[in-house]
Amino acid sequence: MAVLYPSQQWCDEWKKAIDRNPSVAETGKNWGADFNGSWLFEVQPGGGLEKTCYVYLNAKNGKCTDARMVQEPSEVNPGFTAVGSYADYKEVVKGKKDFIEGVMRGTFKIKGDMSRIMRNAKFIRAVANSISSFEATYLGE
Amino acid sequence: MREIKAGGEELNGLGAILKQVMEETIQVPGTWKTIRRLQGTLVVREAESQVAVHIEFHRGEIQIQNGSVDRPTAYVEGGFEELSAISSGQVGPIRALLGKKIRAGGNLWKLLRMSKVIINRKP
Repeated sequence: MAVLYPSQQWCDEWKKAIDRNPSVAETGKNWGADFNGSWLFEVQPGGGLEKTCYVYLNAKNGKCTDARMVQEPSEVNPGFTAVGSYADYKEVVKGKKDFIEGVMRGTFKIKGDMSRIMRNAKFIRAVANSISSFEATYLGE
Repeated sequence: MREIKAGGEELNGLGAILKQVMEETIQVPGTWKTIRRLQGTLVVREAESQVAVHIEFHRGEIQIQNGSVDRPTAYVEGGFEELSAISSGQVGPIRALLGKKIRAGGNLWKLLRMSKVIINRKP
């Protein structure tokens, strides 16, 4: 069953998708082991989304430990943040655009310890790929 | 405090990542010793997005800017995973080159020296 992006149901499905992706388990063994490996995705309005929303994702040792919507960024303490518009995130969730490519182009602005990202590039790719591995519906469509 | 300058418009994502990496590597005495007298331009291009940045070395002044330049001193091109593996010190640039994981050209002697600024070996 397709779930609405963004919603808590979508976060739950993303967590499941991450945990059933063998590449995540294989490449993420060291992710979050001795540093804060959580992410906050800031989804800015546009493309059907009226108000900024936040998706929090935590992963450690190749497993997703938490995936949820948060009301305010101050509710969590992410190690990394990614900021982009709903229209751009939608394309990634649909699998039409690549998250890494979006980061390279500056479509998504990321903050955090870049050397951790570089050291775990395959893990980042695996998590990003899992985002489009299940059916979703979208605001504004 | 040694610094990396950003020239021109706001850096693209590749540039923003490399700038942060370089800000750490230039504080490493051995790396600084290798690059402080270099002159020239290194182009780094991410192969899938074709996003590029160029890093200008001018005797201890280092500036990163979006885009490529004509006739750089050296260039390196590879996918995100490959560039990341090099930049994090997991794979040496020569090994990556010989294994055809990346493409490189120009003055290879200078490339090896210049590339030290984008290699952060911290665990």
